[in-house]
Amino acid sequence: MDLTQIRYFLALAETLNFTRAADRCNVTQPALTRAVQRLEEELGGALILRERALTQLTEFGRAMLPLLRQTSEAAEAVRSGATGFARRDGPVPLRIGLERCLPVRTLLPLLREVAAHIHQLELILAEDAPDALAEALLAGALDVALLPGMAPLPDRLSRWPLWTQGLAVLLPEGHPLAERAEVPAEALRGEALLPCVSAAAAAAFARIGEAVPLRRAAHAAGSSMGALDALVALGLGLALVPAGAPHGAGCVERPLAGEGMALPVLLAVPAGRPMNPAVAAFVKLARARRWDAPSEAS
Amino acid sequence: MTLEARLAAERAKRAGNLRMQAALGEVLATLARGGALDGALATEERFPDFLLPDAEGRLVSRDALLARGPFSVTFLRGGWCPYCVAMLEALDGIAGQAGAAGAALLAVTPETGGLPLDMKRAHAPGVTMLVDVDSGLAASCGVLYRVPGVYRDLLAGHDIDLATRQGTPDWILPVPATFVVTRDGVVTWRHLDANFTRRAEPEDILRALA
Repeated sequence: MDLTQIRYFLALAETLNFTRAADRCNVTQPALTRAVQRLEEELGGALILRERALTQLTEFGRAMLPLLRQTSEAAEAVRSGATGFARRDGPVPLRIGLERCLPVRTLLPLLREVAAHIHQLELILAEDAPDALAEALLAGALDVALLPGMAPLPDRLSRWPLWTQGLAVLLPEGHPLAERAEVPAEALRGEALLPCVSAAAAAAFARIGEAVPLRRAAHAAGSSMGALDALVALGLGLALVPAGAPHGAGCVERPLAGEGMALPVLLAVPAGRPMNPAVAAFVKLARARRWDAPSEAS
Repeated sequence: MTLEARLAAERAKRAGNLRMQAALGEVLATLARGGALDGALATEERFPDFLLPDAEGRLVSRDALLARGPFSVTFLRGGWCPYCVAMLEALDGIAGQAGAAGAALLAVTPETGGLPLDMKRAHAPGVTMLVDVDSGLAASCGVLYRVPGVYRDLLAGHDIDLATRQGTPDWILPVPATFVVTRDGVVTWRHLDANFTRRAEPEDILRALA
């Protein structure tokens, strides 16, 4: 797939007019036509249909469009941003949204690399519920998000699974359940459970509650993992949290035992949106590696 | 065993496999039609700018490499390909000599999700493995192609799912190619062959890097 041929075809797909496409690409119409023909030969089908005065994409052309756009964008996104047309002056933002309670520190090695290579990086981290993160991505308020694969995501978001996130019970130090290596859902019977801060934990809470009667604690931590941690340390209740969620002294975490307690954590970006060098680097670093599921040990 | 002997052995294993031969024929025909490789990066052109992760999670840039000396870039398809594995092991075999000459050897793969690190650890601990997520570097070098139907069915039949391995919706692969780039950033030598059973000779790479 030749980038020049692709670029000419994309211009044609957008303008649906050979003359305008050639103008836009700064070439003669025969040159553009020839290039598109060669692309058609390689891909093995007609991409463009010329009917009298009307130019349109064939069904095959429409089917190939995502691949050709993706290829063109990937070639743009591989650049470092340090030279040529890609050279940037000014801040390079990287806005990452995270589901609440996701252990942010797992991202440290990636962020360290991006910061070391991208000058004038502006790193913005935000925590929110999965629905809000998806909306923010689509609205352009975030570049990338890490969220649990719960409800289906909108098609306009590209997504890749990174790791499978288990759940844990956050206990005050010295709690009898802390003596166990893991806590089965059944053992939560009769315990006061604080409202969940993480959506994934809330979903598990609801599922467990169908089989095991759970007592709700009278206290609440809103959307703050730090506040939740404090309430647990005070002995005001237990909490269901993603395994490895940040917490302080005074609390211990034990894995929640049982089937169906784990959810995939997905990396999501708006499909087809051009990425600046910081976003591109971060997304590539995240997709290149194999992730270990975070746990208290990490 | 030399690289060519290993490649010949792998070819011989599959010589009687009609499906495999048909798939290879289809790839060659696809790339011959429309002159798909006519626009590939050529000698005397500048190697494109890039910033990519390596298999260990460090970012590598063209300019940082050039600051240290000449380098070679070898496009590979993945750990599932016996020709790529042979090529990677051959690169590992010359890594010491390249290093002594002040040159870097790089392998590039479109695979993701820890597969590049697995491949490097198994076959070439001495070679830098770049992870060309979404094949932007392959596209920039003009060596990327869409996998045609017969080959795709063959790979799928062997449980080789390129879409999952690469994290892409479409099945794409790089043509195996090696580019040697000297300190001023210009390509001085290249091996480019649509036939994925043929690869650059390690001795030729070393000679070009010297």
